[in-house]
Amino acid sequence: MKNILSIARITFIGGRRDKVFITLIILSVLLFPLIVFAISPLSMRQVREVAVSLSLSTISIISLVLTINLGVNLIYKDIERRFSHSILSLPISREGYILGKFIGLAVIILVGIITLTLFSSIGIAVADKMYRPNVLMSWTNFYAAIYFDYLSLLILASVTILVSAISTNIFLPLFSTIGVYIIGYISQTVYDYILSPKGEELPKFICLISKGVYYIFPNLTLFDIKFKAIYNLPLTLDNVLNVTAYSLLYLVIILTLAMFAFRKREML
Amino acid sequence: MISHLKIIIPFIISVIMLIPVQKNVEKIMAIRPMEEKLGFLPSNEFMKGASLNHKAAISEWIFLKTMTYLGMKIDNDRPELSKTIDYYRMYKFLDASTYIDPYNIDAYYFTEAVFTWGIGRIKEANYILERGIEYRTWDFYIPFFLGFNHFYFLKDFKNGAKYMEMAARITGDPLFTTLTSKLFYEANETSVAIGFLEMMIKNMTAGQLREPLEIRLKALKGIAYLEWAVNKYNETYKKKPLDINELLQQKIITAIPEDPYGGKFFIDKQGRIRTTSKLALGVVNGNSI
Repeated sequence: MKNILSIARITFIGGRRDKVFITLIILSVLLFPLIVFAISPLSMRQVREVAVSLSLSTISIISLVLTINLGVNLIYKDIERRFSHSILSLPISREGYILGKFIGLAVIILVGIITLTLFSSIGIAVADKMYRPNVLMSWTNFYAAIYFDYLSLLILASVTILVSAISTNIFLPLFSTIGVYIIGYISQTVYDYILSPKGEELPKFICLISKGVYYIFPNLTLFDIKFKAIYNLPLTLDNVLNVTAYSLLYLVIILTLAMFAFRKREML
Repeated sequence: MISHLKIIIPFIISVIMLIPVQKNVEKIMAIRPMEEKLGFLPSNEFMKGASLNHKAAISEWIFLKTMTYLGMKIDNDRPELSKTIDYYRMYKFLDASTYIDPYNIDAYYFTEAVFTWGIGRIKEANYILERGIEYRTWDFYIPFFLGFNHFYFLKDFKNGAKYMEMAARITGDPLFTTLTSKLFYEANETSVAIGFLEMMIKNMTAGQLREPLEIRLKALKGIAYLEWAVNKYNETYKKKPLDINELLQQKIITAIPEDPYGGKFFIDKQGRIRTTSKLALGVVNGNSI
C-alpha cells in the first residue's frame, strides 16, 4: 500500500509540474470573468443560468483535456524513458504500479477541478448578485454536476490507463479515450432511437450492435446533470448514490482489466 | 551575437511590415458586408446527439447567433436590410435551440417577440412555445405567451383561456388574474397589447432586441392615443371623423403622433386607426414586405 501511494505521489508531483496542466488552469481561470462579464449578459432572460451553463462546460472541457493529456502520457512516457523498468525492479507489483498511477492521476484531476470550481463559483456568485435570476441558484446541484463530471473523467482516465497498458504507441490511448467519451455520450441517444417506432425500421443487426455498445460502454449521459444545476431541477440522493456506485463498479472493472493486461505485458 | 541577430532582425522587420498591412486589414473590415448569414444546422436529432454533455451551452450559442443575426439586420439607417431577414432559417435555429435545451427561456422569449409581433407567424411560434410548457413547469411566461397569442392574434378564446388559467395558477398573482380577465373582455384593445409589450420589454436583459419592441410599443401608443381621440370626437359630434386632420382642427389633439416605422397614421373606412407603414420597417407607401 505504501508503495502504491509513493507511485501516486510521484505521479501527482509530475502531473502538477506539467506545463499543459498549468497553462490550461491559468487560461480557464481567465475565462471565467469573460463568461460572467462579456458572454452571459448577452442573454435576454437568463444571465445567471448562462453563466452556470458556460462555467460547467468550461470545467468539463478543460478537465477532459487535462485528463486525456496527462493520462496518455502517464504510462507511455514511463515505458519510453524506461522509468517503469527501474520502478518495477523495486519491490512493487505491476498491479500496484497501475493503481498508483491511477490514484495519482485522479488526484491531479481533482486539484484541477477544485481550482476551476473555486473560480467559477466566484463568477457565478457575482452574476447571481448582478442580475435578477429567474430561478434560485442551487449550489448543491452545481457541485453535484461537477462531482458527476469528475466521476465520468475518472472512468475516462481508467480507459486511458487500460489502453496504455496494452498499447505500444501514444495514439491508441488518445483516440480510444476520445472514442469512449463520444460513444459514452451518444449511446443513450442511439438506444432511445432504437426503442422508438422509427428504430423498428432499422436492420436487426444494427439494433443488436447498438444495444451491445450501450451495455458494454459506460453510459456517460448519466453523469450529465447540467440541466439540473442550471435550472435548479430536483436531484435526489438516490440519483447521486446510483451514479457513484455505477462509476465505482466501472472503475473496478476497467482497472482490473488494465492490471491484468499490464501483468501480461512484456517489457523490452 | 550574430546568431541572436538572425532571429531578432526578421522579427523586427516583420513587426514593422505588419503596421501598414494591419491598416489595410482595418479598411477591409470596415467595409465588409454586415449581412451576416445564419448558415446551416444539421437535423435537431443529430445536433442533440452531437452536443454531447454541452447541450445547454450549444443551445445558448445557437440562440445568440440567431439574435446577433437579427440585430445586424435591424438597422434604422438601412431599413432595406430588414427585407432580407431569413425568418425561415431563424425559425429552424430557434427550433433547434429549444430542442437541444428545452429549458432555454431566451429562445422562447425571442420566438414570442419576433415571430408574433414581428411577422405574425403565430402558429409556428406556438409550436415552439408548446415545447417549453412541458419542461418549464414553474414558469408562467410560456403559458402566458401562448394564452396571449391565442386571444390576441388567433382569436381562439377557448384555448387562450386554458393557457391563461395555467399561467395564473403558476403565479398565484391577483394582478395576473386582472390582466387575464381584461384579455377575456377586451381581446381587440390596443391597451392590452401595450400592457403585454411593456411587460416583455421590462423583463428583458439584453438590449439588442428591445429596440424593435420599443418601436412597436411607441407605434401602439400612438394608435391608442388616436383611438382615444376618435372616440372623443365621436362622443362630442356624434359621428366618426373621416380624416385624421379633423381631430387636429377640432383641437382634440395638438399633433399627430409620429409613426416610428416611418409611415403616416390615417383613419380607414371603418373608422379605425391605420398606418401606411403597416407597422413594419422598410414598408414604403403601404407596400408590405
